[in-house]
This record gives sequence, C-alpha cells and structure tokens, in this order.
Amino acid sequence: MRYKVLGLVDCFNNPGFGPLTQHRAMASTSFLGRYAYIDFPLSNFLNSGIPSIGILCQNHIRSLSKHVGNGRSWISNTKIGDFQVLYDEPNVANPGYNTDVACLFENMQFLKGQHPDYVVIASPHMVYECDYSKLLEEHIQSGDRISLLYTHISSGLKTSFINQRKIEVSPRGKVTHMELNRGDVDEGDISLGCMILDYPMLESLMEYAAGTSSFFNLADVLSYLSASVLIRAVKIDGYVRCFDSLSHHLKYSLELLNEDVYHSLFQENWPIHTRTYDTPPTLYHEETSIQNAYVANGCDIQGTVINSIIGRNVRIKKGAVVKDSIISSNVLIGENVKLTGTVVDRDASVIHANEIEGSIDNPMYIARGDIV
Amino acid sequence: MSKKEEMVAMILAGGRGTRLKSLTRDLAKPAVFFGGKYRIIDFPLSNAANSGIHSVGILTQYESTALNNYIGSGRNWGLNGTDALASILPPRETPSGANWYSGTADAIYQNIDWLDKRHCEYVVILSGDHIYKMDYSEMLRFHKENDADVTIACIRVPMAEAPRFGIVVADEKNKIVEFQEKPKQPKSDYASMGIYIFSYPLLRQALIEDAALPTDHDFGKNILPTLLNAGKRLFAYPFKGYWKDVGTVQSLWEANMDMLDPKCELQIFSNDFKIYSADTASKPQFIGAEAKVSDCVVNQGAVIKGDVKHSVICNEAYIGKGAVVRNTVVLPGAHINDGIRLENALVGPKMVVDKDYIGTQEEVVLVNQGE
Repeated sequence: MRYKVLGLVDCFNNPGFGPLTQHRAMASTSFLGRYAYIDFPLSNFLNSGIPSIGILCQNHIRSLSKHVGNGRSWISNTKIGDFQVLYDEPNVANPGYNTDVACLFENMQFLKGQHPDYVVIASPHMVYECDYSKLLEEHIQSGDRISLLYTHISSGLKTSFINQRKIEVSPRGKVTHMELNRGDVDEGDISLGCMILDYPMLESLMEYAAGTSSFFNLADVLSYLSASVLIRAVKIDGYVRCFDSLSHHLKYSLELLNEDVYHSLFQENWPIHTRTYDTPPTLYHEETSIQNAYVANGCDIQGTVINSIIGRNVRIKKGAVVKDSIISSNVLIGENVKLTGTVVDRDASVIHANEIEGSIDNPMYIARGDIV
Repeated sequence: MSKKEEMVAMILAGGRGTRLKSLTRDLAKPAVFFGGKYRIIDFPLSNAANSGIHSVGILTQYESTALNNYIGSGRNWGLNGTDALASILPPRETPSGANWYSGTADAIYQNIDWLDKRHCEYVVILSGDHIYKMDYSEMLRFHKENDADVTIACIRVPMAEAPRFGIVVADEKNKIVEFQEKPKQPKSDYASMGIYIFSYPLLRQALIEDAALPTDHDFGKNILPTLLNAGKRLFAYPFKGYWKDVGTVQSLWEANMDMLDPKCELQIFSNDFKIYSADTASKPQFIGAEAKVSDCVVNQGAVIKGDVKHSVICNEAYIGKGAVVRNTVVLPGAHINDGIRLENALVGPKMVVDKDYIGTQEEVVLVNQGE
C-alpha cells in the first residue's frame, strides 16, 4: 500500500450477552464453537492488507489478551506489522471516564508511533466480512475526511440493532442525521460503528470530544458533529448482524446453520483466522446421532445433537439430547440429560439435571464452571 | 556458542515411499495426511518435543518442498523457543561437491558438522513414517542404565510380518546378541522400530568408518551389524503401546481405522503427550440437516451432508447429500459428490469423486489422481 493504515478494534460499548459476558469481553466470547467474535474484524483487517492493529480494550483484559495473544494469527509480517492491546489503566475503575476516546489519548504514543495515514475503526459486535482495502481506495478518491459504514435494514429494526446509531443519508451520500435506534420504526439505515478516516482527523475528533465532554465516546462525537461535518455514508450489502444479547447470540448462531445465511456471511477466499488450541479431531461413537450442527475439534459425542453449536473439547454422553443450544468449550453433558434452548458456558458439567428447557428467544443459561 | 544438550533428534524424512503409490507422487511420505488432522511427521516431532528434546534435525530429500514448508520454524511443535531448533537438513553442496543422501547412515554422516555444533552426548535417530507416542527420555534412561552404546526400540510383531523388519535376538537382560535385517527366516518376532539412541562419539566414528566403505550406508544393513560384530553393547528397549508403520496404502488405512477403536492404545484423544499439528484456517465442521454421522473421526472444516460411518474425515472434505461412506479415509479437500457410495476406500487430497468405489478390508481401494 502507498499509505500506512492502522486498524483499530473498538471494544468499548459492545452490548454484551448478559451473564455470558460477565467474566469476559464480548469480543473474546466464543462464536460458532471455533471462533471468538473479534476474529471477524481482525481477519477483515488482515485480509485487507492492514499491517498494524490496535485493540481498544474497555475491560476484561485477561480474556481478551488470552485470545489474541501476541496477535500473530492476524499479522502478515511480524517485523513490519504491529499488534497491541490498548488499555486505559488510569480510568479502568471509573466507568464514566473509561471511554474509547480516553483510551486513545492514553495510548497516543502507540498511535503516533505507527505513523498512520489512515485509520479504520471497527466494532466486534457487528459481524460481517468486508474488504477494507477497496473502501480505503474509494475513501481517498472521494476527498472526504470521514467515511461511515452503514447497512440498510428493510425490516426488523424494532427488535434488532437497538441502541445502535440510526442514520439519515442525503441523496449525495452524506450523513445528515444520527440518533439512537429506539426500535420505533422497523426500516432504516443503521451505522456499523465502523469508520475510515485520516489520522489527523482522528486526533481532531478526539480533541473535539475531550473539549465537549469527558464522557464522550467516538460515536457520541460523530453524532454530535454529523450536522456540521461532512461524513460520507458507505453502504454495505450482504450479511450484517448486531450480536447484542444472549438471545441474539443463540438465534444468529443457529441461523448460520442455514446454508444460504452461511454463504451470505462466509465469502470465498476470505479466511477467518483464530488462535490454535492443538485439539485432536472430534470423535463420534456408534450410537451418536447428529444433525444440523457446527462442531469444534476435540469433542467426544455419544448422544444426540440437533440444531446446535458445539465448542471445543465438549463431551456429550450416551442418551443425552442437545437441541437448539450452544455448548461452550470443555463442557460435559452427562448421560440422558436433555437440553433445549440453552447456552452452557465453558467448563460447566450438566450431569444432575434431567431436563433443562429454554427457547431460542428466551434461552436458559448455565454459568461457567457450574455443576448442575 | 550454543548450550550443551544431552540428546538431539534426527528425523529421517527423505524416503520416497513408493508403496504409498500416488499419495507420494508429489509429496514426501512424512507429509502424508493421517488421522483427520495430522501429517505423519507430527508424531516424531511431537514425541521429540514432549520428550524434552530441544534440537531436531529433519533430513529431507524426496519431494521436500511441501514438507519443508510444513515444518517451517518448527513453531507448530513449540520447537521455536529460545533455546530450541528445528533444522531442515536437505542435501547440500559443499567445497567437496554435491551429493544426494545415498542411505540413512549417509544422510546423518553428511550432517556431522551440524551434530558437532549441538555439543550433544546422545543422538536419537527417528523415522518419518511411524504412528506412535513415545517418550524418548525414558528410552535414554534405559540406554544409560545399561551403559549401552546403542539402544534400539523394539516391539513384538506377528511372526508372519517379521521378514519386513529388522529382527533382534536379545538375551534376558535385553542385550542384543543377533541382528537380522529383513530376514527370510526370522529368528524372533522382536522387531526394530527404526528408533535408535546412539552415544554420539560412537555414532560419529561409525559413520565416518562406514562412509569410507562401499556399503549401502544404511543403519539396519550396515551400521548396526558392524557395531554388533565389533562387540559393542547394543540393547533392545522393549516398547509397549501402539506403533504402526504406515508405509503402504493398506497400513495407512488400517492405522486410520485403528483410531476408531475405543481400545486403541494410541490415545490420540488424550491430553497427555499431545500430538501437535499445523492449524488450518478452517470453518468449524458442519453436519447437515439430513446427515448421519456415527463411529467417525471428523476434523474442522469438513462438511458432511451424507451418511458416514466408521470413517476418518479430514479438514475441508465434503461429503455430499445421499452419499454413503463406510470404512473410508477422506483426505483434506476431497469432494464426494451427492449419492456416491464408498466402502473400504482411501480418497486422496482434493480428489473429486463422481463414481462409486468399493474395496475390501483386505484390499482397500485408493481413489486418487493418477490411479
């Protein structure tokens, strides 16, 4: 690339999945048994040829650092590229002040040290595949200072993308208005919380935010400025989902078992990279029955699995039935246990309960490490 | 100056593996796929790492490009640590000329300079075509306890198969009294596993002496019998556990099927003494709405829509709707079309299968390009 690009993953203000994200970041939460949500923005950066990546981390640094490690999985050249988890140590216990803007200020040395010409900022709770290199070219051609990615939702805004920014776009493709989606209408254009901008513009936004309110985050300042600053609106077609609740985590994951939905998310020649765990392949026994499922490696499955997502090293014993559920890593489902519409967090053992029944809209949750 | 090491490993990975037929047409035998997610060489490399060995030399020759790329810096086996080394050692040109490796002993002989730089006391010689888990540090302890010059790991084999192996006759204290390389009339069922620990100064001397003679420069045919005849202390290390030579299509298929046996001693699914491998940028495996999967080993990235039983399915393999797959090994990226029937078969990498193949347990059918 003729210019230097820095990719930032903004892990601030990710909506979270209730109890599932009590001890971990939404970004490092397991997705489809094999991935973490942050693998999508990170792989989009890697596949777009972006050499350096920073992760703006709001909290749960242990779970996030454990997943990304030294970042080698998402860096093309380890000498030329850089990878850093950016943390705002002074403000971590001070929720009002702990904003992405404050985190950027705290990590100014890293930002400046990258000498970026352009910055791409993406949010992990918005899942999609996107070639930013094309969008960067178009952004530069346009002469605009900020490009904001959005998608059009023809129906469903009353129950999805809640509290995300709804935007209005002028006929000339500029953002004229931004407001929170309160679910009052079903159709509209919604921001993906992803922007492309030149580095001096990022510093200006940070300064403007800090000069307006110390509680302002990047989305706030963008919303605040949308009437007076030209923001180019870039429409993204294809698969986009906002993973913002335990129910949506389950519902959208299971929706990907549909092949058409699957192919709308996973594009050819766009690998999603993740960290390796050196698990053996999965073992199915003679009495196993399994239909419509994603299964990670390292599992030992004797029971029945229907329409579910099975994480790494899961053991499902004889006579057990798992349906419409997500089972996280290292979980044991005991003999004859029946599970429906349940999200089982990692390291849990479901051995005493005969039947646990939730639904896709209202899933049951079994906590990390619990024995039930 | 590097740190002194007690034992380094040398993996003989240059063989052609002609009995694997078209599977090794453009791929070295140690790089052939096994068990859903592994390559054969993952076993000696992981064993070496798990045995606390820091330096591993890998001697490559035949179709070495893919194998060399696969080994890379050795990081998939953790051999890229600060004081670790995974060194790919293909034949090279030196001031005295360029020579291909002409035998197993010659391959090591041509790398004496590399071994000298390791400052090691012992060398364990391994081969790249066996499936097993083994702690070489236990074997080294045995070697030292017996004050041995050479220790050969040995396993009991069916007498009918003995002529395929190096056969050892040992006394009650495991001291080897006779060595027969691939004998027509074997004197025992005690087979060499092709795993040798040498005290390095002795190995060095033996290699130099052998190099000056017009021999086959082979450990089994030349080095070991010569040392035994010279009165050196050769010991047989009794190995217990799973070990399989996967030099033929049939034995490769059998070893894959062994993984499905719950009583299999390989313990590939155990977290102890893990076998490491390269991760692939795969999707999670997908089992379709009309699929039937039982008694199988399936790797990430596989897509199964058909009916699969007692089979091993590698990454990115695709089993179409209505396909019936039994007792079959499907290597990475192979595509089994809708409605195809496969029995007792081994399907090569990236093969598109558009007709039925039915083999038998005694003679599996290899479905591969060029067959």
